[in-house]
This record gives sequence, structure tokens and C-alpha cells, in this order.
Amino acid sequence: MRRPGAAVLSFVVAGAVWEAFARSGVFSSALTPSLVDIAATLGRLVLSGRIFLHIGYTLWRILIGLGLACLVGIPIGMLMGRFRFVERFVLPLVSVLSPIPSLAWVPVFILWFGLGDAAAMALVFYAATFPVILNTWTGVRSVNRLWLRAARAMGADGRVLFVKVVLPGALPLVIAGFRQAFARSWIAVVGGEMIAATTWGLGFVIFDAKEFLNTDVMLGTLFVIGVLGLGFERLIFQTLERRSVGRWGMVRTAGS
Amino acid sequence: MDTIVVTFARLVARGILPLHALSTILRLIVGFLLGATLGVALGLVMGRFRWAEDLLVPMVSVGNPIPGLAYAPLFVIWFGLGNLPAVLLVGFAAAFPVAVNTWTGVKAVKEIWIRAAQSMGARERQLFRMVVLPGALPWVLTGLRLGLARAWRVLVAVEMLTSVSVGLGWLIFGAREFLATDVMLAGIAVIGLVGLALEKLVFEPLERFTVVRWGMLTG
Amino acid sequence: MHHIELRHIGFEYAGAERAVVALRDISFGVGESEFVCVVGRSGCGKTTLLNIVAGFLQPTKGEVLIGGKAVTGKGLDRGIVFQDFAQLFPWRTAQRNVEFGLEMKGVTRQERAEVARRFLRLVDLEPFAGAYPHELSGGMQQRVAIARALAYNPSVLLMDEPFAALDALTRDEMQRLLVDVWGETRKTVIYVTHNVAEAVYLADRIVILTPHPGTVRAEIRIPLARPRDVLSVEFLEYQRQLVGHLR
Repeated sequence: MRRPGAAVLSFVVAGAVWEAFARSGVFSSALTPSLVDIAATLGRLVLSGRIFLHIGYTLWRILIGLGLACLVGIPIGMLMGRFRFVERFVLPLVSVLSPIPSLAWVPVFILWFGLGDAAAMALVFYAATFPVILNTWTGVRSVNRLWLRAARAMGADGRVLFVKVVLPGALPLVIAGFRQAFARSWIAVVGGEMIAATTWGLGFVIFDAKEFLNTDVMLGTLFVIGVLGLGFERLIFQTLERRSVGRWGMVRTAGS
Repeated sequence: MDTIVVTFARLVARGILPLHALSTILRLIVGFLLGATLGVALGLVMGRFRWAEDLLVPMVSVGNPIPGLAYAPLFVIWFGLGNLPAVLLVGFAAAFPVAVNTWTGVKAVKEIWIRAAQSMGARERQLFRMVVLPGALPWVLTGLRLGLARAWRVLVAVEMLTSVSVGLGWLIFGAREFLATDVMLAGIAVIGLVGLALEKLVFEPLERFTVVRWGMLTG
Repeated sequence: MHHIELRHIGFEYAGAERAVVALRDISFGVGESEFVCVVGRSGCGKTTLLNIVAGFLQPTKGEVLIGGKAVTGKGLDRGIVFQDFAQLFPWRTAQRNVEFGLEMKGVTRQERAEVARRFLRLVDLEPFAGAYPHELSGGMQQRVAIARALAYNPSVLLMDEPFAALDALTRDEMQRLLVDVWGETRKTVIYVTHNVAEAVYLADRIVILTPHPGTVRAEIRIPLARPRDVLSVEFLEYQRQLVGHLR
């Protein structure tokens, strides 16, 4: 953020507007709790340690789903970029499946995998795989022809060419795909936890709180979700980008 | 596979699928228009006025990565069950990418266009209408596209949560009770088709007529 | 009385530690319908000077007079052509780009179209009136930019290295075309460049700037008749003289 002071002011103003609204009594305080209540609830969740368990479960599901997606997606994308017949076989499948919102599959996955962890992870996997495949494929195709020729002229071939030129050349888009995949997983996991009736996870907390009209818990958890999402984006992906492709001058990293 | 196709045909013939699809699409249109209007307006204000940028950008960038669906239970508490929370949530979720991209677009308008226009006597209002708006259009379109995709994803899921009486999300969710996998997959197929159609029939022509023709984006 | 008067122009901007003097005490005049080239190495402040005449920057010292009146900001009495091809609006055809200034003046649609066509003809681009900028070559885009800067009939034309990004052959062609256009429209021109041959080919008079801070080193009058023969002894002699001043 260019001016941290302005950001603080922004949240102070937003907080003040919310507080005025919450205390005005337009809705009952059960519907629009004051910031103090939300902060207190959040504090309680943190002190009891329960929120960390929820966060842990949510991140665990993302880790497994996203990890599997990369394990499957990157090789498929590479093969598609390398061999014409793989591309011709996989691309139609991917283009039909990828625009379907992952959450539409929840009921089906519940039937196939039962309620709970497996369904949520499958959902994350489904949501994350396509961006990884598509971006890796585009990345391999977008590797500069001149680099390939130059490397071949210097005697690189086959495996060496692939590892030393194609892979790093495709990296900016692979990372972009990973980033997109994370954003999608984040959505999928929260939705999956709500609908697939797990007993742990941030999505579950929000959904469960609805039954008891605990709006303070819901808003507090939303806050946690937002901070975690932004944190991952800023800390992990931007660092990853800066350390690799940003340093090579291949993309302009955000904020520069 | 053939059971899915047969079920699909049966559901279409009986008018069940078209009915569910239609009501979902109606919700999508109303919600998306709401969110797009809000998002473009916010984005333009943020791009044009320094105070608005300082005030709103931090909030939008924190709100943007929160999955729209996470708000669903809250919206249900606030606005009850049925159509209202679904439409509002769709609009809310769609507004974020639209606002962020519109803002970026306004900021990305080339300085040299502004200078050229100013040297030809363009005033503030004309500058905005005749240079900033078309200059930012590629970004605005990207934002609308992302917004629509997000709206579509949220809507399908939110229909499962807010107990609307008809809708594709509801159709799939309801079918689970009866283990009717064929119905569910038929519903998913329609969801995919609608998403694809929106992309091909709405955004691609829109881009061809504007930014691609202007060479601001390769088609 | 000169058409354009620069009086003791000074310009400073805030540097990392202290104020940097970019221009110091620059004074010269440009007569009605005169073609003046401002020549200097990159970093000598020639673009800054042009931006001051254009009204994009306020000088920290001195003033610019055009037609006896002090310049306070941007105005329709000056047309500007930049170096960057991107100066054209990509969402408008060549003709609609040329019409822009007239639109700002509130000229009717039909008259706009007529005027735009006339100026596109002047730069030999009438057949491309309906083309979008990205469909035109770099040289063609710069010709559209020239037509655009002339169409709303400013008395002064300011040009900031408009041909610097073109290949050598196209640049020669464009210089010939510019001389013709100038001969026909008789505008007062300030043309900024670092290209010695270009300055000698185009200018009635050359103002030479030296950097750190930007000051006027010398002025050379070029009384050669147009069109000029770039291989003539006189032409080469003027080039040699100019290079001597730039050393």
C-alpha cells in the first residue's frame, strides 16, 4: 500500500460508519453487532484456540487439494504444450469442465465421497486443477522461440532443453496459474465446508453460527478469512514472484 | 452416460430444466447488473478522486479475496430466505472484481492521451467522457468478465443455501436427497453450457466490437 | 515583435537532495511563420522547454509570450506532436482522431469531416481515413498526428522529436512531407530534435542548447533555399558548424 496512513484512515472511517449503523438500532444488535462485540468474540475464539483448529483444517484441505492439483495439472499442462496429440485430446475436456463452478459439484461429490474431508478436498482439487493446467500449457507455448533456437545452437537438446529453457521460460505463467488456483481453492473450500457438512473449518464456523444467529461469530470469521486470503496473496505469491520471475525482469510485480 | 443424456432430454422435454435454468439466469442478470453498476461507479470514483482512492481501495482489496459465498449465511440472516439474499449476494460478489479492474483501468490511461486531448482544448468533463472512459475500457471489460464469472459461481452455490424454490443449484442439491445422480449431472451440464454461452455470446462479441477492433487487445 | 517570445525562462525541480536547475535564463524569439529547431543532447532540457511553451509546465522564472500575450496554460493556439506513436487515440479512426480538436471547439459534424479530410489529404493519408491507428505504420501514425495538430488551426506547431522512432528512410520521407506541409500552412514551428542533419534540413534558424543546466549556447541561421540538397557543400558545412557547437 502506497500510503499506510490512508489505509488506516480508511478502516477507521469504515469502522465508524458500521458502528454508528450498528448502534442506531435500525436492526437489532443480534443482526448487526457492534465492533466491540465482534472483537470480543474474535478474542474468545483466539484465546480458546478453537479458531486455529478451524484454520488448520481449512488450510490442510487446501494443501492436499492444491498439492494434488499441481501434481496432476503441471505435468498435463507441460505435455499439452509439448505434444500436439495430448493437447488435442485434453483441451476439449478442459474447456468444457473448467467453466463449471466447482460448487455445483458439491452434491455429486457428497454422493461419491460421503460427507466430510474427502468431498471438500476433491472440491479443492477440482477447482484448482484447471487454472494450473491452462496456465502451464499457455506458459510452455509462450516460451520465446529465439531462446529455444539459441539453446539448440549451443547444443542443448531433449531433457536439458526442457529443464533449462522451457521450464524457467514457462515459470511466470505457471506461478500465475498457481495463484489463480489458490484463489479458486479458497472459494471452493469455504463453500464446500458449508454445504458438505464437515465439523471443522472456517466455512463450517460461519454456517454453524447461522443456526444460532451468532452474527458476531460470522463477521469475526469473515474477517479472519479476508486477512488470511490477503496474507497468502501478499506474503507467499508476491514473494515467490519477486524471488524468481520478478528478479529476471519477466513480469512487473504488483506494487513496483 | 446414456442415462444422463436420456434424463437430460426428459428434463428438457418436460420443461423442468428450462424452468430452473431460466429462473437462475434471471437472478444472475438482476444481481450482475446491480453489481456491475456499483462496481463500475466505485471504480471510476476511485480512479478519479484521490480521497476516494485513499478511502476505498484498502477496503476493496481486503474484501476482494473473501469468497462471496462466505457472506451467504449472513445475508440469509439479514434478508431472509429466497430471492432477495441470492440476488444481493450475487451483486455484492460481482462488484469487487469490477471495481478493482475499473480503478486500475482509469489509472492505466496513458498520460500522452490526456496531454494530447488537453492540448486540443478538452475540458475536465470531455476528457473523462472522451478519453478516460474509452481508454479504460479494456480493463473494465476484463472486470465485468471476472465479475460475471464470480457471480455465476456464487449464484449456483447460494441457491443451495438460501432455499429458493426453483433454480439450477437447487435442482442439483434437491436431487441429492433422492440419489438422482443423473439429474444432478444433467443440471451441472446446463450450468456449464450457460457459463460457456455467456462468454461466447456476450463478452467475445463485445470485445470484438471495441477493444479488439481498436488494437488495444489482440483477439 | 516576435510571434513567440521566451523571456529569461528558468526551470527547477525538486531533486533527491536539493533543487535541480534544468533550464537557466533561456531567451529567444520565433518570428511569424518561422521554423525554429531546438537542438541538444538528450538531458539538455529541450523537451522541458517545449512543455513550458505548450503550457504543460509552469516555468519557475521568466515567461513565454505568444502573440504578445503571456502563456498561462494549455491553449488552442498551439498544436502539439509528440514522439510516441501512442499519442493517437486507439478507439478512434484516423479521421475521428483528426476531428478531436474540432469537436472540442463545437464544430458541426459535417464541417468536422470536411476539415479532417482536407488535412488527411495534406499528409497523403486520405485513403486511410477509416483506419484505426493500430492498422497504420509508424510513419502513417505520425502523419495522422501532424494532421490532428493542424486541423483545429492553431497558429503555432510544437513538435517533440516526432520522427525519432522511425527508420531512416521513412524519416527522410517525413521530413520532405513536413517541409511541404509547412510551406502550405505557414505555421510558426518550434521543433525539438537531437538529429543534426534533420535540424539543418528543416530549420530557418537553429537554437543550440547545452546541458547542466540547459542554456542557449548559440544560434545558427540557415538561409538555404528549399527543398535543400543534403549533399551540397553548404549543407554539410552547416552540419559541421552545428556539430562543433554541440561538442
